[in-house]
Amino acid sequence: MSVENPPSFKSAMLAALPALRAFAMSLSGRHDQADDLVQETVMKAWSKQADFTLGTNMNAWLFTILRNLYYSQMRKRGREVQDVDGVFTARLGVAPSHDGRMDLADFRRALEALPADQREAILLIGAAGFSYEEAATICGCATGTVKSRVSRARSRLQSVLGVSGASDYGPDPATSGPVVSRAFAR
Amino acid sequence: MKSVPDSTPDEPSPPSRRPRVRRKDPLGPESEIGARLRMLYAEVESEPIPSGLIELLEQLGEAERRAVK
Repeated sequence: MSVENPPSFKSAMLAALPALRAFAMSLSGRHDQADDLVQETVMKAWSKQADFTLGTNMNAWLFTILRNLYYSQMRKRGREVQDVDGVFTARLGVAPSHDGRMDLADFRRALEALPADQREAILLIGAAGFSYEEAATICGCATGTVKSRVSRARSRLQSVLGVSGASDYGPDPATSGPVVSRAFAR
Repeated sequence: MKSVPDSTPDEPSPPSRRPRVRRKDPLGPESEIGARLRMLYAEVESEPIPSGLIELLEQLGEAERRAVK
Protein backbone atom coordinates (compact mmCIF):
# COMPACT_ATOMS: atom_id res chain seq x y z
CA MET A 1 0.00 0.00 0.00
CA SER A 2 1.57 3.24 -1.05
CA VAL A 3 0.91 6.52 0.62
CA GLU A 4 -0.23 7.95 -2.67
CA ASN A 5 -2.97 5.38 -3.00
CA PRO A 6 -4.95 5.14 0.20
CA PRO A 7 -8.18 3.14 0.25
CA SER A 8 -9.87 5.34 -2.18
CA PHE A 9 -12.26 7.95 -0.99
CA LYS A 10 -12.85 8.63 -4.64
CA SER A 11 -13.95 5.13 -5.51
CA ALA A 12 -16.27 5.05 -2.53
CA MET A 13 -17.81 8.29 -3.75
CA LEU A 14 -18.16 6.89 -7.25
CA ALA A 15 -19.98 3.90 -5.89
CA ALA A 16 -22.34 6.16 -3.97
CA LEU A 17 -23.32 8.32 -6.94
CA PRO A 18 -26.30 6.32 -8.21
CA ALA A 19 -27.94 6.24 -4.78
CA LEU A 20 -27.14 9.89 -4.26
CA ARG A 21 -28.74 10.86 -7.56
CA ALA A 22 -31.85 8.88 -6.76
CA PHE A 23 -32.15 10.66 -3.44
CA ALA A 24 -31.58 14.03 -5.08
CA MET A 25 -34.29 13.23 -7.62
CA SER A 26 -36.69 12.29 -4.91
CA LEU A 27 -36.09 15.62 -3.18
CA SER A 28 -36.07 17.96 -6.13
CA GLY A 29 -38.08 16.05 -8.71
CA ARG A 30 -35.90 17.44 -11.48
CA HIS A 31 -32.94 15.91 -13.22
CA ASP A 32 -30.99 19.12 -13.70
CA GLN A 33 -31.43 20.24 -10.13
CA ALA A 34 -30.67 16.75 -8.89
CA ASP A 35 -27.41 16.61 -10.79
CA ASP A 36 -26.41 20.05 -9.54
CA LEU A 37 -27.11 18.91 -6.02
CA VAL A 38 -25.05 15.78 -6.44
CA GLN A 39 -22.20 17.80 -7.87
CA GLU A 40 -22.21 20.23 -4.97
CA THR A 41 -22.43 17.32 -2.58
CA VAL A 42 -19.39 15.71 -4.15
CA MET A 43 -17.38 18.90 -3.80
CA LYS A 44 -18.50 19.55 -0.28
CA ALA A 45 -17.87 15.96 0.78
CA TRP A 46 -14.46 16.07 -0.79
CA SER A 47 -13.50 19.17 1.12
CA LYS A 48 -14.81 17.66 4.33
CA GLN A 49 -13.48 14.18 3.89
CA ALA A 50 -11.47 14.47 7.07
CA ASP A 51 -14.80 14.56 8.89
CA PHE A 52 -15.84 11.24 7.52
CA THR A 53 -15.30 8.37 9.91
CA LEU A 54 -14.01 5.33 8.12
CA GLY A 55 -16.14 2.32 8.69
CA THR A 56 -19.33 4.29 9.04
CA ASN A 57 -21.95 4.39 6.37
CA MET A 58 -20.66 6.68 3.66
CA ASN A 59 -23.98 6.89 1.92
CA ALA A 60 -25.62 8.15 5.08
CA TRP A 61 -22.94 10.80 5.40
CA LEU A 62 -23.32 11.87 1.79
CA PHE A 63 -27.11 11.87 1.97
CA THR A 64 -26.90 14.16 4.99
CA ILE A 65 -24.71 16.60 3.12
CA LEU A 66 -26.95 16.54 0.07
CA ARG A 67 -30.07 17.01 2.09
CA ASN A 68 -28.60 19.98 3.98
CA LEU A 69 -27.55 21.56 0.70
CA TYR A 70 -31.00 21.07 -0.75
CA TYR A 71 -32.80 22.64 2.17
CA SER A 72 -30.43 25.55 2.47
CA GLN A 73 -30.88 26.25 -1.24
CA MET A 74 -34.62 26.19 -0.79
CA ARG A 75 -34.35 28.60 2.10
CA LYS A 76 -32.08 30.90 0.15
CA ARG A 77 -34.58 31.01 -2.64
CA GLY A 78 -37.17 31.95 -0.10
CA ARG A 79 -39.21 28.96 -0.95
CA GLU A 80 -41.21 26.81 1.25
CA VAL A 81 -39.99 23.33 0.78
CA GLN A 82 -43.00 22.08 -0.99
CA ASP A 83 -44.22 18.98 -2.59
CA VAL A 84 -42.31 18.57 -5.80
CA ASP A 85 -44.26 18.28 -9.00
CA GLY A 86 -42.77 15.09 -10.25
CA VAL A 87 -40.82 12.67 -8.18
CA PHE A 88 -39.24 10.25 -10.59
CA THR A 89 -41.55 11.35 -13.38
CA ALA A 90 -38.91 11.70 -16.01
CA ARG A 91 -38.31 8.01 -15.96
CA LEU A 92 -41.87 6.91 -16.00
CA GLY A 93 -42.15 6.84 -19.77
CA VAL A 94 -39.53 4.17 -20.00
CA ALA A 95 -40.80 2.10 -17.15
CA PRO A 96 -40.92 -1.57 -18.02
CA SER A 97 -44.27 -2.24 -19.60
CA HIS A 98 -45.16 -5.29 -17.60
CA ASP A 99 -48.53 -5.59 -16.01
CA GLY A 100 -47.48 -3.60 -12.98
CA ARG A 101 -47.12 -0.37 -14.87
CA MET A 102 -50.49 1.21 -14.27
CA ASP A 103 -50.21 0.23 -10.74
CA LEU A 104 -46.83 1.87 -10.50
CA ALA A 105 -48.14 5.09 -12.01
CA ASP A 106 -50.85 5.27 -9.38
CA PHE A 107 -48.34 4.47 -6.76
CA ARG A 108 -46.01 7.21 -7.92
CA ARG A 109 -48.83 9.76 -7.80
CA ALA A 110 -49.65 8.67 -4.30
CA LEU A 111 -46.02 9.04 -3.34
CA GLU A 112 -45.96 12.55 -4.77
CA ALA A 113 -49.06 13.44 -2.83
CA LEU A 114 -47.38 12.65 0.45
CA PRO A 115 -45.98 15.48 2.54
CA ALA A 116 -42.29 15.89 1.76
CA ASP A 117 -41.09 14.70 5.17
CA GLN A 118 -43.12 11.51 4.96
CA ARG A 119 -42.06 10.81 1.40
CA GLU A 120 -38.45 11.30 2.34
CA ALA A 121 -38.72 9.01 5.34
CA ILE A 122 -40.35 6.16 3.52
CA LEU A 123 -37.87 6.38 0.66
CA LEU A 124 -34.88 6.37 2.95
CA ILE A 125 -36.16 3.33 4.80
CA GLY A 126 -38.03 1.46 2.12
CA ALA A 127 -35.98 2.14 -0.99
CA ALA A 128 -32.54 3.40 -0.01
CA GLY A 129 -32.17 0.76 2.66
CA PHE A 130 -31.16 2.86 5.65
CA SER A 131 -31.91 1.93 9.21
CA TYR A 132 -34.26 4.13 11.19
CA GLU A 133 -31.27 5.45 13.11
CA GLU A 134 -29.40 6.34 9.94
CA ALA A 135 -32.48 7.96 8.44
CA ALA A 136 -32.89 10.00 11.62
CA THR A 137 -29.32 11.21 11.33
CA ILE A 138 -29.84 12.13 7.70
CA CYS A 139 -33.03 14.04 8.42
CA GLY A 140 -31.74 15.58 11.63
CA CYS A 141 -34.66 14.34 13.67
CA ALA A 142 -35.42 11.71 16.29
CA THR A 143 -35.66 8.05 15.38
CA GLY A 144 -39.22 8.00 16.65
CA THR A 145 -40.09 10.83 14.30
CA VAL A 146 -38.81 8.84 11.35
CA LYS A 147 -40.82 5.86 12.49
CA SER A 148 -44.02 7.79 12.73
CA ARG A 149 -43.47 9.47 9.36
CA VAL A 150 -42.82 6.12 7.73
CA SER A 151 -45.85 4.65 9.36
CA ARG A 152 -48.12 7.47 8.22
CA ALA A 153 -46.69 7.33 4.71
CA ARG A 154 -47.12 3.60 4.61
CA SER A 155 -50.74 3.63 5.59
CA ARG A 156 -51.55 6.24 2.97
CA LEU A 157 -49.73 4.32 0.28
CA GLN A 158 -51.29 1.12 1.46
CA SER A 159 -54.77 2.46 0.98
CA VAL A 160 -53.89 3.57 -2.54
CA LEU A 161 -52.53 0.16 -3.36
CA GLY A 162 -55.63 -1.40 -1.95
CA VAL A 163 -57.73 0.73 -4.25
CA SER A 164 -55.75 0.05 -7.38
CA GLY A 165 -55.63 -3.63 -6.69
CA ALA A 166 -59.35 -3.99 -6.11
CA SER A 167 -60.86 -2.02 -8.95
CA ASP A 168 -60.36 -1.34 -12.63
CA TYR A 169 -59.18 2.17 -11.94
CA GLY A 170 -62.69 3.49 -12.19
CA PRO A 171 -63.85 6.06 -9.72
CA ASP A 172 -64.74 4.38 -6.54
CA PRO A 173 -65.54 7.04 -4.00
CA ALA A 174 -66.26 4.53 -1.32
CA THR A 175 -62.66 3.46 -1.11
CA SER A 176 -60.57 6.06 -2.90
CA GLY A 177 -62.23 9.14 -1.50
CA PRO A 178 -60.20 10.14 1.52
CA VAL A 179 -56.70 9.71 0.15
CA VAL A 180 -57.25 10.87 -3.38
CA SER A 181 -59.30 13.92 -2.59
CA ARG A 182 -56.80 14.99 0.01
CA ALA A 183 -54.03 14.57 -2.51
CA PHE A 184 -55.70 16.82 -5.03
CA ALA A 185 -56.74 19.36 -2.48
CA ARG A 186 -53.19 20.52 -1.89
CA MET B 1 -64.45 -40.44 -0.96
CA LYS B 2 -63.16 -36.97 -0.27
CA SER B 3 -59.51 -36.11 -0.50
CA VAL B 4 -57.65 -34.83 2.50
CA PRO B 5 -58.08 -31.09 2.97
CA ASP B 6 -55.08 -28.87 2.44
CA SER B 7 -54.76 -27.61 5.94
CA THR B 8 -52.17 -29.25 8.07
CA PRO B 9 -53.61 -30.61 11.27
CA ASP B 10 -50.58 -29.76 13.35
CA GLU B 11 -50.67 -26.07 12.49
CA PRO B 12 -50.32 -24.50 15.93
CA SER B 13 -51.44 -20.92 15.47
CA PRO B 14 -55.10 -20.06 15.24
CA PRO B 15 -55.90 -18.22 12.00
CA SER B 16 -57.15 -15.11 13.72
CA ARG B 17 -53.90 -14.37 15.52
CA ARG B 18 -50.51 -14.19 13.95
CA PRO B 19 -47.49 -15.01 16.05
CA ARG B 20 -45.76 -11.81 17.06
CA VAL B 21 -42.27 -13.17 16.94
CA ARG B 22 -42.15 -13.40 13.17
CA ARG B 23 -43.53 -9.99 12.54
CA LYS B 24 -42.84 -9.04 8.96
CA ASP B 25 -40.87 -5.99 8.02
CA PRO B 26 -43.62 -3.75 6.66
CA LEU B 27 -41.31 -2.44 3.95
CA GLY B 28 -39.35 -5.62 3.52
CA PRO B 29 -38.90 -7.91 0.55
CA GLU B 30 -42.41 -9.26 0.76
CA SER B 31 -44.13 -5.93 1.02
CA GLU B 32 -45.84 -4.49 -2.03
CA ILE B 33 -45.04 -0.97 -0.99
CA GLY B 34 -41.40 -1.78 -0.46
CA ALA B 35 -41.20 -3.44 -3.85
CA ARG B 36 -42.70 -0.44 -5.60
CA LEU B 37 -40.53 2.04 -3.76
CA ARG B 38 -37.45 0.10 -4.72
CA MET B 39 -38.64 -0.17 -8.31
CA LEU B 40 -38.98 3.60 -8.64
CA TYR B 41 -35.69 4.19 -6.92
CA ALA B 42 -33.88 1.58 -8.94
CA GLU B 43 -34.96 3.23 -12.16
CA VAL B 44 -33.10 6.38 -11.26
CA GLU B 45 -30.19 4.48 -9.81
CA SER B 46 -29.76 2.55 -13.01
CA GLU B 47 -29.39 5.68 -15.11
CA PRO B 48 -25.91 6.30 -16.39
CA ILE B 49 -23.99 8.72 -14.21
CA PRO B 50 -23.48 12.02 -16.04
CA SER B 51 -19.93 12.17 -17.30
CA GLY B 52 -19.44 15.57 -15.71
CA LEU B 53 -19.80 14.06 -12.27
CA ILE B 54 -17.27 11.37 -12.93
CA GLU B 55 -14.85 13.90 -14.40
CA LEU B 56 -15.30 16.07 -11.34
CA LEU B 57 -14.28 13.21 -9.09
CA GLU B 58 -11.31 12.41 -11.30
CA GLN B 59 -10.19 16.02 -11.11
CA LEU B 60 -10.56 16.12 -7.36
CA GLY B 61 -8.57 12.93 -7.07
CA GLU B 62 -5.91 14.26 -9.41
CA ALA B 63 -5.63 17.56 -7.55
CA GLU B 64 -5.20 15.68 -4.31
CA ARG B 65 -2.51 13.44 -5.72
CA ARG B 66 -0.58 16.46 -6.88
CA ALA B 67 -0.99 18.16 -3.53
CA VAL B 68 0.31 15.12 -1.70
CA LYS B 69 3.48 14.93 -3.76
